[in-house]
Amino acid sequence: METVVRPSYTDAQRMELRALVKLASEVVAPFWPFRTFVHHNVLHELEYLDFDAAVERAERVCGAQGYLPNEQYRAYVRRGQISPELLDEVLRPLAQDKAVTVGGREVSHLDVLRVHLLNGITAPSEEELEAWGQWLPDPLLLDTLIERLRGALPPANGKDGPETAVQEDREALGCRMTLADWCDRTVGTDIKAKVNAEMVKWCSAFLDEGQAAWPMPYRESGFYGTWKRVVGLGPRLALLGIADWRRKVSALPERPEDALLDSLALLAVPESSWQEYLALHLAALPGWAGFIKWRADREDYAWQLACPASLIKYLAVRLFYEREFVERACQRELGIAGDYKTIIAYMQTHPEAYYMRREWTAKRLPVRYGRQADRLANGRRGRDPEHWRALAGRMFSDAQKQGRRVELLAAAWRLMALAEGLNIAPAALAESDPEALIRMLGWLDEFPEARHGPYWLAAHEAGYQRALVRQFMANVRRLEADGRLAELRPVARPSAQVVCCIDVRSEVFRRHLEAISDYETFGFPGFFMVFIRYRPYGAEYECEQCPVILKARSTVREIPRAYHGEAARQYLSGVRLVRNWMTLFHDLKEHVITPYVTVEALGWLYSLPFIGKTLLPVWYERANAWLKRTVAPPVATTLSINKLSREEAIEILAMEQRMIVRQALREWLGVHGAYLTPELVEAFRRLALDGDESASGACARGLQRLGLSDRDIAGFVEILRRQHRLDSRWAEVRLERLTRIGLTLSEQVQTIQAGLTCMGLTHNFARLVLLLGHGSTSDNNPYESALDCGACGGGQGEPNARAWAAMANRPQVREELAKLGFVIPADTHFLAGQYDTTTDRVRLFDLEDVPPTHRHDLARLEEALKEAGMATSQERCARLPDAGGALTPTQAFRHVLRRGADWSQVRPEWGLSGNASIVVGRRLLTQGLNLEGRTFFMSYEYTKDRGSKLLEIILTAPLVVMQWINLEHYFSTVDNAAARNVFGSGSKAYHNVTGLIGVMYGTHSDLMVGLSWQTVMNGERPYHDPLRLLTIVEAPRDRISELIKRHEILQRLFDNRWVHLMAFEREGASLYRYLPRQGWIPERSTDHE
Amino acid sequence: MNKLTLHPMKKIEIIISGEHKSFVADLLDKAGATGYTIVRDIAGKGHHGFHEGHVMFFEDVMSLIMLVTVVSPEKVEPILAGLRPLFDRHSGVMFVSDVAVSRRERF
Repeated sequence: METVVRPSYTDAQRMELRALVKLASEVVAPFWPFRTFVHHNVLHELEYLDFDAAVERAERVCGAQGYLPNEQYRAYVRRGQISPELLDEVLRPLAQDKAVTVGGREVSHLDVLRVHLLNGITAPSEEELEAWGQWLPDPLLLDTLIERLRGALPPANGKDGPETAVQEDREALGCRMTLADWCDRTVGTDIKAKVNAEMVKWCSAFLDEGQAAWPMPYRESGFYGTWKRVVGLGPRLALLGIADWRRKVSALPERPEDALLDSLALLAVPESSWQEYLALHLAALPGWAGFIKWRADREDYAWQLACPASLIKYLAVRLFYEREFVERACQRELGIAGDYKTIIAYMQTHPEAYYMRREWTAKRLPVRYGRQADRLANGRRGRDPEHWRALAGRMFSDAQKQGRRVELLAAAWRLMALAEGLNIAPAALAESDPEALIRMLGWLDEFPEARHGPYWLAAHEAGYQRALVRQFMANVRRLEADGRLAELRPVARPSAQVVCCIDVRSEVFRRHLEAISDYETFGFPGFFMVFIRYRPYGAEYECEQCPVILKARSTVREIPRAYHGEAARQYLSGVRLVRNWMTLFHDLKEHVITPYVTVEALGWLYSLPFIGKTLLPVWYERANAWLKRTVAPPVATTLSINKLSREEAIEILAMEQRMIVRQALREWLGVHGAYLTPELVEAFRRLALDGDESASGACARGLQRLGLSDRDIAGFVEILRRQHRLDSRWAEVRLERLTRIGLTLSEQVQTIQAGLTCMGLTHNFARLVLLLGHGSTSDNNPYESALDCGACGGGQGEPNARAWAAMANRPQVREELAKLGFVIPADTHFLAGQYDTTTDRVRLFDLEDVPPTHRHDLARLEEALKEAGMATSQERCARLPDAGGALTPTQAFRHVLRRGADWSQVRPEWGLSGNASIVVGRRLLTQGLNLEGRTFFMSYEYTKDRGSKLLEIILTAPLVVMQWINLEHYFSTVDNAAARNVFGSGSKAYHNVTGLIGVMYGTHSDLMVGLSWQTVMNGERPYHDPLRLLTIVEAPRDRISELIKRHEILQRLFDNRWVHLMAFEREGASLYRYLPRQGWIPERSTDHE
Repeated sequence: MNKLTLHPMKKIEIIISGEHKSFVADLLDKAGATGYTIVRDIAGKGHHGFHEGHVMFFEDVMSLIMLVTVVSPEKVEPILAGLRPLFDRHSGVMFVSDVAVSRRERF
């Protein structure tokens, strides 16, 4: 490639490019590292488009599947999951009021569409058609039919010929097809795969977050800078066939924008299609690009600050490879330059040669011509388009001689298939009016199989929704008959109240708990609207315990209870010991020399967990727990929920500082015993902090007796500042942290008040109210946090439940609440717990705080929780294919424990799969219904919600999280079957963790973004039914409409059909469906049937 | 009292959905704006009707925000070039006006 004299780009050009990259990246979803894996809608940024349009764009740009294969939907029909009447319903808007008469029968447009949907009438390949024609029982009939059609069927006239091919590809080049794609399709190169392979290598090395034993050098210069520096060090580019690589690398511009502009200029991509062109490149590896996108948006992410990466930098590298490979392929195979203009010109000048090459590469040529093309392509003459043109000429003139036989045969095949579906005898076709037949063929053509997906989806959804609505309304009618429909809450005081997460997995547990006795349950987002950053005892990190899109507002720390001082020290030293051992072991393993010795000496240690986890998982788990208890005995803890006043914080800080000074004096100056006076300590503290000169006198006096000079004093102060971080700046930082801990009284009151109001728990409190968060247990599962609580940012619900209960139990909080009209009886105690969704066990926390008067209530509740857990296990095991059939509750309870500990278990639980709906309203409306763990529940009482403030929160926050979970499952299911899946992540068996951020498929692939095959599929069949979320809100329609009008996000969700919406009105006990952009209509399927 | 010398500058106000904040902020950085002010959760009326402020959730991504920056006149064009494609697809407005500042070296 000749050198271009680089134009100097203006800032305006660079900025415009940045904007184009940003818009191009909308097709790629940001990828959260799996430590905080959260379910999200992979097409989130396309939500401004209608669902079908967004899916269409994703299919076009990423090559993903947006609906299940049609054959799968047909299987649903066969299994009765989709009834044929539903198909008519969804096809009706498409069908026109037209009909033809065939075989003496009226066949409507709708009939044809339905049969097409059910049977998929697309003609097979030419060879298969010929074979079919020969084996037909009545060949005469076929001939007659063909003859009838010959006169009537308008000739296709080169519909698939070279001119059309050139026309189509000319339009596609640049916006639906990159130049690399064009080369791959025309001359059979694998440029896209080669570029991907290079990018995977660079991305996995550069974006590594501590997994690599030898990190990549120079990462501080950013993705592009590092690449530019490192790629020139070795001969890799030469091995890839890039000539003159040293000069090319050294000629690369400093700024990634300029490099990208250079590549676009060399490839001569028209400016109007830059955005689409870059989108295609980003969509080639949506996982890596998505992770870079996520990282680049995080200004405070430590790895991003240390080794900056951005999509511009990524594209600058990517397009460098593309331009080099394309140039080489075009020169070598076609003898032309590898740029847009030349390629367009080539297609226009040599349409036949181009057509033949393309068909040959795609292996679509009939065998005879295919062989000739093989010889041509492999010989010396291949570069000359004239030879290809001659070949095309021969092929077309042979086809001419054959007449239109193939075309007519295909038409006959389709008509016969259609007749079979319509139950019309094939003989009747030959006697029908050819015009009628042609019209039917036309209807088929207008509705190609590629467009069936949206209709299938609609029918599938209608099936589920109808069944749910029927169940729901039957319950409403029952309540109406009993006169209980308007009942807000139970009249009698319940045994206990349990607040569960809105998660679908709670549905099963709640149902069983309610069946045991008069336990009242509520659904509330599992972070209980406590926005906290949490630091477990002994941990060195903090985690955000609220949905990832929100920000934590205060820090809560787990601290040992005061009476556990000694045990706490033991625990900490135990934890430290384990940590040091692990570090040592890891270092030995990763070092250049030591691994050999380490493996010899300590390798056998690995066999213990290996054998234990494989053969005796439960036993191993117990032994492991025992070991942990012995090394670091558990400590009773509590949470620091109360905010310190500034004065308190300053005092605590001063105490800490005095401790530091005292220790430093002992260590550095050897001051002991009576010499170590409080005045001396205080004087040094002030000197180090504010350089208070008046204090130095006191120091001098105190130290005189030890014979230390002024210089020694100054030196010691320096040590305090440098080594012990005792200076005013650090003090400020520490103070800031201290004051961030805990919540103020009014924040606590607000949190509790909002929660209680939203749930409708404003009166009739039980003696025990349990706040039940949730988490999961699994081993060897990189996606573990996907099974934890999404509302807690992919963490476990424990801290939030404990914080909430602690606040609600505080007398001061209750006093304030009483002033606001929320009178919580003195004998009501709030309790925190965590439900393990894998093992179905519940752990309760802070039992020290339960008043002695409540011990019986507690024992009863614990008993009931266990019983409900066992029943839940039994129900869940019946759905798990490998659980061994019908188990008793006890067996099932044991089985789930084993699942959680088994490290080879690819489905520790299967809880979230199946999610399909959410009910926002009173529990009464769904109580007693078996909704199979597929429904989210959000407790809500609209009569208590003035100004719809709470509903606004519910629809704009929890609903969004539910929708993300739902669509993550949707897209992972519909695009998990093919070998190349974009949205799903394929089988877990091939997953390898890379860079501590995500998993790759095998050793070298894109970062896998979605859920694994095992999560959503059962064998070859989907286990998760891919349906969009149905939301049923118990509230007057006008309130909901008002909110939709106010919030763009709700318009996107409901009007663009990402979520279905229904409203249940208590007045009139009726259900309404929201029609996008139109409004409400009574839900038809609610009529008595 | 010393006489205050004023230097002509351009003020750019950008009102846009919060989800694009980091892009716009980054753009201003890259285009050489030395600083900017962000006003969060604003309300007002435009082509798409009235936009309300929000109560407590998603302030950052869902509500409208305004970024205000003051730059020397030659930096206006790059910033506009970077915003133009964004406004082609997403709603938002931008105003450029003349202002004067006393300490030119700060911008």
